Amino acid sequence: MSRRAWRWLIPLAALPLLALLAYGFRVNPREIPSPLVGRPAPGFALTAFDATPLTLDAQRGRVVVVNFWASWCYPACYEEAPVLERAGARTATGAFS
Amino acid sequence: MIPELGYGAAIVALGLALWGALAAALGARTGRPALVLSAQHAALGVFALVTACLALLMYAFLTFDFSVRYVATNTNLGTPFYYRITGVWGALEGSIILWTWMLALYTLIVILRHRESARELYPWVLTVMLGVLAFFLLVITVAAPPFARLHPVPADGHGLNPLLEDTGMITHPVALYLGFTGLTVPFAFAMAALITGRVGDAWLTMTRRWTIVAWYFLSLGLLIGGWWSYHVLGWGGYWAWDPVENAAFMPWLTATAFLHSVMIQERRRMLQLWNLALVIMTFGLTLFGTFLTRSGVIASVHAFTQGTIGAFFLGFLTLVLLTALGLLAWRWDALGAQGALDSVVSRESAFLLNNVMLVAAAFTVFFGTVFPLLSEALRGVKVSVGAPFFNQVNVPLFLGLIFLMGVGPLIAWRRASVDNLRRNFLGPVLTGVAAAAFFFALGVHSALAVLTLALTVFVAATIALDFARATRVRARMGEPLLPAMGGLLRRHNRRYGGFVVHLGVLIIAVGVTGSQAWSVQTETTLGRGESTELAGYRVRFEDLAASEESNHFKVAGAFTVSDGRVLGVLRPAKKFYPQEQSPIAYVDYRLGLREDIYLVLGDFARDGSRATVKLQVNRLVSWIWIGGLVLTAGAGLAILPETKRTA
Repeated sequence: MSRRAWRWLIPLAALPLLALLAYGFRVNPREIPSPLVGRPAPGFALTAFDATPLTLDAQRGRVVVVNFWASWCYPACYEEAPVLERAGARTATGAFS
Repeated sequence: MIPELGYGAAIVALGLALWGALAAALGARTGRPALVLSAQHAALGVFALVTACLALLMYAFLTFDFSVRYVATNTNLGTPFYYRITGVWGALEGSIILWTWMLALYTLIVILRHRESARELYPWVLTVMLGVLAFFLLVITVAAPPFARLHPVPADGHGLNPLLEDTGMITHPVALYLGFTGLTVPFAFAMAALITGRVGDAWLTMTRRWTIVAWYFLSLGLLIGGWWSYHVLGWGGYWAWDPVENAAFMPWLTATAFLHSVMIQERRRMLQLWNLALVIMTFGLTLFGTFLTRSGVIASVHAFTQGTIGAFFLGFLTLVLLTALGLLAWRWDALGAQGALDSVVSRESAFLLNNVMLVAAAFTVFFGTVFPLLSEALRGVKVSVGAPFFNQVNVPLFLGLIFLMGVGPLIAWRRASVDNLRRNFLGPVLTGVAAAAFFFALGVHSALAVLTLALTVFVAATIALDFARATRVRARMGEPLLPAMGGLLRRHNRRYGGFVVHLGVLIIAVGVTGSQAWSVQTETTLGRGESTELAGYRVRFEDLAASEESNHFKVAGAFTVSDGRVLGVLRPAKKFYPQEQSPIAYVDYRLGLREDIYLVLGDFARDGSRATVKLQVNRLVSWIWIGGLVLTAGAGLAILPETKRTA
């Protein structure tokens, strides 16, 4: 009988898998670290609402907050826009969004 | 009062299921039929009580009983009638009730069909079915109670996830769950076979049809899921290798493998151990799927909320795997191979290879699905595994499977002679090669597309050859042609049902190849009256119209589609639900055998002067749905009871 003792390894083979799944409870799959954190922002050149050209390079030395939003993003974007504006006005150097 | 009744019914059902499982096992050990009878009554009681649970929850939905948390979260006063019914299984708690109800229904049918025919196995089958039922009832009563109250009672509910407001919500989960739960039956029989030591063919013959039934529903569920994704989600695709799609696909692959390997055991007494292992694997994978969907361990579009329920499922999965594999180890000595492979060129070996490939496909899908978890556990690195991985590893396997689909059914058992090979395959191979040349000349230069199409033609030719030969034999006996064909389908329904399923797979393969290789798309912003062109179609933006629907606000664009002559007006829209942060796209399309025109509305100017639109021309996608219909029809044919042969 001991000759075939190895067959009891069959059910045990499932254990590493089950342990892996149990480990899954400890992590949050939606928490994804961005590879861009800590890296310089890529430059851009756009036209502002008042039709003046706007580049990231020209803002060097100031605090810059870039907020991505969309016209259909309601209500979140509608709510955050004035908050960002107020925060910008309160900063002496003038951030912009 | 209603919710308390529901909760009470679930608790009593749990008690009955536990008693039934125990009583059936005791009855089997002691040989006292009264105990088995009692278990049988318990199972009937469970079915009645779970039915009551489902009905009560549905009643709560229809009457807007927002004092029930689950109702308040998944419906609101604007939810249309149909979606109040489907809302019952629109989220975690209710979906488990539906699941449990189906399981109870299957148990009931098992009792009706097998209480006389499977004397020795039957009590243990009952034990396993009721044991699984008890687990799900435990989830209903403890981990995810659907009847939990909400205080204070809100004036209106939150509303169903808008993506679920689709007719697919009626059919997709129902079909998929019928498939998943149906796979419990072969598992229960396999366990009964292991426990009683009757590991011969009895359990196999009894569960074969059950497996086809489950497979039928699982296939149907997957196909409807693809259709839903295609016409609701607005990205123009039908399959994304999302973890939960994979979770439904893996048991489908292993169940498919089982349906094939069964035939080898029937004919050649081989693969007993393998068949049991496949059934255990398949059932394990269905549990793994429910675990994935409900534990929040892996990110997915289908994932329900996170909670303690994940731990419940993991615990049950552990219990099932250890018990089942333990039983397998215990009966190891009785499971020796009785037949041997005579030749590599034989039907057995083609079927074996088919099994290896299907299980390999299931394994790679499994590996890709859990790899993010593995990577984080072992290396601490977060990764995601996407379509490129799954496509790269699976496409060669699927091509191999298509090839075997042509070889397996026609090659001789035991050892194929050169003559047998020439007689059966020379014609189809030549047809396939000719098809490759034909498609190449037609301008198909992607090697993958040419290979797939040639293989498809090869397999179709083998099927046609077999069917023509069999019909000719009957016609020679004096039967007219059409009745001869019909009689063939009916008389040998398992064989020809299988062939029809294969045809369906071929049609799907053509659709997948075409949509992957030749679909085109463009995205552009149009002013009113302006047009864009793609692949011979001209799409003109006419105007925007806003409307107030029962539970959302809708902005629809009107786009005239023409290819020289006007084909029609498509109205893709954006739907704004008060409970959602971002709007839901509503796709409009014009389906065709050759290609679909598929329009998604993007951003738009509020005054209706401009709109951004995504225009896709998707090639041969309809073939997937047609192939799906053929495939399910074939499975349906194979389910029919076999007719007694009249000499």
